[in-house]
Amino acid sequence: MSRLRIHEKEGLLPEQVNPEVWPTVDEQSLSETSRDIYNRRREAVIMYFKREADLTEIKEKTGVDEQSVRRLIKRCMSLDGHGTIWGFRALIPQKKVKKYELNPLNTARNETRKSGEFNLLLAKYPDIKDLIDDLYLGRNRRTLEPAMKPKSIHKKLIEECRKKEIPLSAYPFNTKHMGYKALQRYLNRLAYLYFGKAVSRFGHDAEQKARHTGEGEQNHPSTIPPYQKIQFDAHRIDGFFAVKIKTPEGDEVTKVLDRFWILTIIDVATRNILGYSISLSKEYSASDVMHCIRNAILPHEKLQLTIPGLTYHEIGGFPSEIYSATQWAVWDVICFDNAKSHVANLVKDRLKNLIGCFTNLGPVDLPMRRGIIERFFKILEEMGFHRLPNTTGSNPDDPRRKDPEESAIKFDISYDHLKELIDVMISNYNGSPHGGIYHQTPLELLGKRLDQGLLPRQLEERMRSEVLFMQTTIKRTVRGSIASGKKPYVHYEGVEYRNEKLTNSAHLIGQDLILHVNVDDLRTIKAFLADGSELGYLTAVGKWSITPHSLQTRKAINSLVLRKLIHYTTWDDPVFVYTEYLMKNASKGKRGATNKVTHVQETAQSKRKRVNVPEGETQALESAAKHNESLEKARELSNKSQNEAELDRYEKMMKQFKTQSL
Amino acid sequence: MDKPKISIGTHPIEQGHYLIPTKEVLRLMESLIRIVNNRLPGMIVYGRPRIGKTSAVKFAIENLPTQIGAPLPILIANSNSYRVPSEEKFFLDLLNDFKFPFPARRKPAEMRRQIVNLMMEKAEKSKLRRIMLIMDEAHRLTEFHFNWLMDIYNELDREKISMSVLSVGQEELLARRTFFLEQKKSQIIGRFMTHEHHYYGIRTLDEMKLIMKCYDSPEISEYPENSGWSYTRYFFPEGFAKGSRLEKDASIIHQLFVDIRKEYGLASDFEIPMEYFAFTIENALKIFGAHGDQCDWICEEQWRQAIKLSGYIESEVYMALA
Repeated sequence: MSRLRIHEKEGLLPEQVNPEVWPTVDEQSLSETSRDIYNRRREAVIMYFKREADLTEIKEKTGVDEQSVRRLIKRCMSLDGHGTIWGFRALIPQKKVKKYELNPLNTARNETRKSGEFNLLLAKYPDIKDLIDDLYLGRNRRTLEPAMKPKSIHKKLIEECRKKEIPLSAYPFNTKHMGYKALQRYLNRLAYLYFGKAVSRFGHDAEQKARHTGEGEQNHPSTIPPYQKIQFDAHRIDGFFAVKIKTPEGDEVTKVLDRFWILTIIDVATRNILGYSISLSKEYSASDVMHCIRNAILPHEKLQLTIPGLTYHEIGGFPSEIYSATQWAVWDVICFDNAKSHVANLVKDRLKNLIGCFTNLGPVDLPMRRGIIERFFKILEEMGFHRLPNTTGSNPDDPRRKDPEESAIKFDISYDHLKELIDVMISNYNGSPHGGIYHQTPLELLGKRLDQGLLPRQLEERMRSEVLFMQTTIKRTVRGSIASGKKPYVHYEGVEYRNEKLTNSAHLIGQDLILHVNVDDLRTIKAFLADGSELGYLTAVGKWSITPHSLQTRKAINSLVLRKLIHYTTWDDPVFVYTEYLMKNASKGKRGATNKVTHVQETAQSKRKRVNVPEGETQALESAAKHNESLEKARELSNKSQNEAELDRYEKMMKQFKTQSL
Repeated sequence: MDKPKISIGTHPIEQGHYLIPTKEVLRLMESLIRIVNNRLPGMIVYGRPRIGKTSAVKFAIENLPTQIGAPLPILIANSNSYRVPSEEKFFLDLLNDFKFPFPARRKPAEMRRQIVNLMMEKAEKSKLRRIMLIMDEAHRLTEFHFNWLMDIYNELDREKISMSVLSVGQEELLARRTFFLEQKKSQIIGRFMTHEHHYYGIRTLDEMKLIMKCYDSPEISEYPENSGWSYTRYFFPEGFAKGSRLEKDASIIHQLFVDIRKEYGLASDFEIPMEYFAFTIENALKIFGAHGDQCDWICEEQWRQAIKLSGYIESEVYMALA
């Protein structure tokens, strides 16, 4: 026993010489014969290491001969592709620990077998290997083809081989498919080697996912306090809905709305949906975002359901309905996905000055970064909209999509139904067990957290008015002139605004006013002097003060007037003229017109009572309404008297004639 | 006063041969008076079909002389449509419509001579040296027709007689004028189409009231003459005595028309042709009145029936299709 054992040579790593740290093998998974061989080999190796017996004894005991012991031990001590020791794994029968390499100098070689020839080719011509790799992975601008098929790569390979003047008797020309199969196998291996790069061959989504998920840990693994962090996102509803609109002639027609958006806010800690809003526009705007935020903060009111059989689950609801501590509650951080509407001045200003939260704009186009809300949308679609006959399905090839527009009309699935459905679905969602929070319901979890004293910050009492959410501040100069006798006024979006105080303050002409505009309702504007003192509510002149209209509507009307598509006189209500124009378009089938009509009517005829409307505004509106009413009366009177005079004249004339028989 | 005895089927209502001065008729009359007084050469009167244009013109012809205070010769001609219009046919039609006894069936020039002579004769008689020609269905007139009319106009003008041409037709007339304008045929427009008068049907409740008043009032409608019995009174003597009047029912009928139009989804502007409105009233009078069911007065359901019987709905539906 004086001879040096293999593992006692110098220059070996500690893990190579210590079988106790070697990777092990689950013997049970081997077949019986393999297990027997493996066990004998293992015993032999251990005996060798422990110097328990010499080689002849080992052979006697285990049946593994001298040569094999040495071979096996060398196998065990070698490193695998990942750089770890093979260990006992190398003792599994038929396990390959070394890659196959063809030895071209071997004279005993069977020329008909081409094993290893492809790798040999690549080894001989490294530039061919680079070419294949580049083509497959789309590197180094070798081709403009987005995802080159193996077939085309093979063609390039053959061209390259011809250029290299490889004789036709040599590989790859001496095989049936000119090395195509070998190339396919090579490319498959390549794909696994360069996962991130190869995945881009399967589209943008797969690439995003490969690049941004499955590695590392989140920096804040869990948010505990409710209302600490919320996520916001918008989603286009996978379904078509119908609305009934009245044409100018008084007939009711059913029109299909273009697909539109649902915007929601979810609490990260408890997965509660705090609020939502629906936007009928093609793209949702800053005011839609603010509607959603407003709905999340205002105490929620249940809808009056009209769909037969539809009810709210008893355990569901919105947080503000159930826990009074969450009424008017605001959050600390809001996570966006950096859409353009999120960086609008209105949103930025209101989030900072009214809600007082931090904004995390987040990256564009990385839905996995706001996984919680994205997951919610998936639930909403799968549990709700994808089960309706009017669904578009999740993609154009979805088998659930069967003429959604027609179904919407046929089954009369209207926009009003949608509003009820969404309210019920979200309310039920808040009361259903959620896997992400250990199968508690979001509301239940919120209750527990509130009991622990994790109460959210609430909006200050003086800020609790609905109008404040939609408010933006602008500066306007007071116009008017002593020379021409025009009394002072301010101009905003094509309309003059006045009130009595301003009219009687000619000294303000030329000075700047600070205006607080509620973009949801432009009938009135609150004005302040430059030093910040209040001037009161200004009212839009003429019929603009009758129907509530949003900034969006005003702009649309002004642009139509500018393009001479509509016109109104002092006696017409512009919003009414606009609605009529849209209805005409909608009945002609113009895209988007139906959505716009519905939007205008929603703003104008909103039945919801506004919360904490400032008194000044109501007063200003009331006096404007009175003014308009009296004007209308005067007009009617003059029309009537004119009409009567005309009729009188004809009546007198008539007396001079008699009916005549012919 | 006893109810006049009239044999069934001879009352103007039953025969449908009567003209009443509606507001539109009077409006047209005013326009006509303006033409005559200002010696204008022509005017176009247009409106939807079946609206009562022709009857209105007839009424106007009858009453115009008394309104102006001097006899004014008026000739009325129908424009017939031919596949190939020719001077010969046009003049012959005119002569026939003027009831000229011996039309020369030869050369157009001769026939024109006859027409001019006829007109001259009539104009001379009136002392105003004016004559009025009414072309009915004038939308059928082509550029040739207007040129031939121009020839007549010019010949009369040489004799110091002025002719006014009143073209009565459907709304295509306006389109025709636009067409002439484009073709720079200002001589035609300048002569015959400078003035226009849009003839409407019944559009408002007040107009309806005025018309129904004509049926009620013995001063306007009375049969037999000088009997003091208005049409309404004759057919509903008891109701009339109790104070019921068609005029008072006007709002009911107006509402019925509105409702029925909605029921059939008629989207056009509210404009009821006089013909159907008259049919409605005649129906009501005939069916439920003295010669029919002899009801005291007409109830709403009966009015509805009368409207439906008038054929108004069918005509409007087809009009909407056309």
